[in-house]
Amino acid sequence: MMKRIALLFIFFLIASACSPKISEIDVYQSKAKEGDKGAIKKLIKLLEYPDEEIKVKAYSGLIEAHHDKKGFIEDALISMLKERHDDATREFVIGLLGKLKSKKSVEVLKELGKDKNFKRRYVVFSAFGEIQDEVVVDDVIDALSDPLEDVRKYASRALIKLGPKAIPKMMQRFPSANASVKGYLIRAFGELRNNQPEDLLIKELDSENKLDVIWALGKLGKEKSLPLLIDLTKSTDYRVRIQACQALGDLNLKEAIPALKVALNDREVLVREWAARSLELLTGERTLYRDEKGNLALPYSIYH
Amino acid sequence: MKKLVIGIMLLLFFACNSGEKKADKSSISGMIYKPIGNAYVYIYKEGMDLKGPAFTDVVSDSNGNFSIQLPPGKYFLVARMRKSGEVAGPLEVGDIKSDVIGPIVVKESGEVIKTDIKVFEKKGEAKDIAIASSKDEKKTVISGYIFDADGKPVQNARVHVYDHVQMSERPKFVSTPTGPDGKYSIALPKGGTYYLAARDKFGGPPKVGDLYGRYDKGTIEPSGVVVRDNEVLQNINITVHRVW
Repeated sequence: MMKRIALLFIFFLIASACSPKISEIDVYQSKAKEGDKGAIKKLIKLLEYPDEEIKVKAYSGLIEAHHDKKGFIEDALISMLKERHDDATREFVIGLLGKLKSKKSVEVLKELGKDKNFKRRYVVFSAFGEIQDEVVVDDVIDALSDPLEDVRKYASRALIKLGPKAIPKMMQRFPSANASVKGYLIRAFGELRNNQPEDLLIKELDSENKLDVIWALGKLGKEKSLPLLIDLTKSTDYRVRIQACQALGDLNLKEAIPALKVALNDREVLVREWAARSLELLTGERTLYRDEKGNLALPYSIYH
Repeated sequence: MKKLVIGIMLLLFFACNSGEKKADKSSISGMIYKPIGNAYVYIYKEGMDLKGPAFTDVVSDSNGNFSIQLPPGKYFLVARMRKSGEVAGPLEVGDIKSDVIGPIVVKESGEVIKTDIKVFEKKGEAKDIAIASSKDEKKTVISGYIFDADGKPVQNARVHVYDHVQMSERPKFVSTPTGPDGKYSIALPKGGTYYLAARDKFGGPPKVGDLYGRYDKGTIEPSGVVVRDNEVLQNINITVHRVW
């Protein structure tokens, strides 16, 4: 009996001796900043530790490690990804590779982005957005039809972060994409604010992505979009009218002013409010609208 | 055998605890008065948002005394005690708070800096930020669920509602914390276009390791949620991820 208790106690002590202490990690962090390879190795090892607080501390230490050791950290992390690890550890490792803008890791990450058993694969696309290597564009567009919504969203954001170099491939694949993928591409086009896809988007104005198209045309459109958006301020759907008023403000063409003044008398208060906001963008003057009680009011400022 | 086991046990015990010896650090100590126990003293480094998360904090003992060791630097102190018992969040009428004290310069010498903190009860405006309750009578409501990276509901997260697209300043409304089902419901005073974020921490910009997510449709700019007066919008779900 005594022997058993003693063995259990020894086991407990060994386990607690192996547990990293926050104060120890602080030391590793400051040594890693100075480029100490041993401390960096310890921090990398701690990414495998099950406690998330420890993982976060190790991750933070590695971000701040001396820049001369970036290659060493990258290689160690890529090796870890090739081994079998739990999803949480992989998530931290991939998040870190993204933060380090590791181009070396792209091929391994591409494989993990397709691995449906890796539930946290959204982080692959988060990393692609940071790494910004155009070789991933096709993989990122493929991920817009991933069954997991957060994967699709991070893929869409990665396209935006990849910038104009992603646009030709996006435009090439747009016509054959399904409505959901088109929705992500349309929104990404909008945020990229590049005029090249304007014609493609105009063709989608009557699709189920109508609201997103209107929003995107406001961001990237030119004179060609103006009459279409003005026309949409008369739609029977209040959501379309709101979006059109917002887009006319974003489009920033003074020719929209008369239509927006008409929209100030819309039957829907939120349309009137957006018309006032957009008029302010176009004229530089604060514009009043009639609120739900019929009083003249200033719209709250969305674009501080 | 017994001696051997005891020997190993002692050896391991000392091995485990030898790393915890701390270097001499300076400390700030004092008393919160009128003496208040279980009040939080929040310590902010110079330049930090004094209404956001603190650098560190310490709880006063039953006599109102507190003491904390700090690395060298310039610090600001503020004491707060919420009736709700929560560590963070906007102060309400009746909560206890102090003025901001500092800067206090802490050096590496191991000195003890004595600083007593006078506290008073918050009066005036009911809340720094409106906490929208699901019990609110108003009918303009946005509701949904907060999920984590594995699609599981997130407990104790809050939805922050902003009325501007940058979402950079303090939120206009904040929901009560989610329960085990991750559900939130936030009643708003009127319809409009709102921008939503969910997070596990209260105040200040999200930091590395925090759980954070915005309502959007795969864009970097948040997607506005348009809700009309007296409309109840459901399934405005938000997924939170670690901030990388």
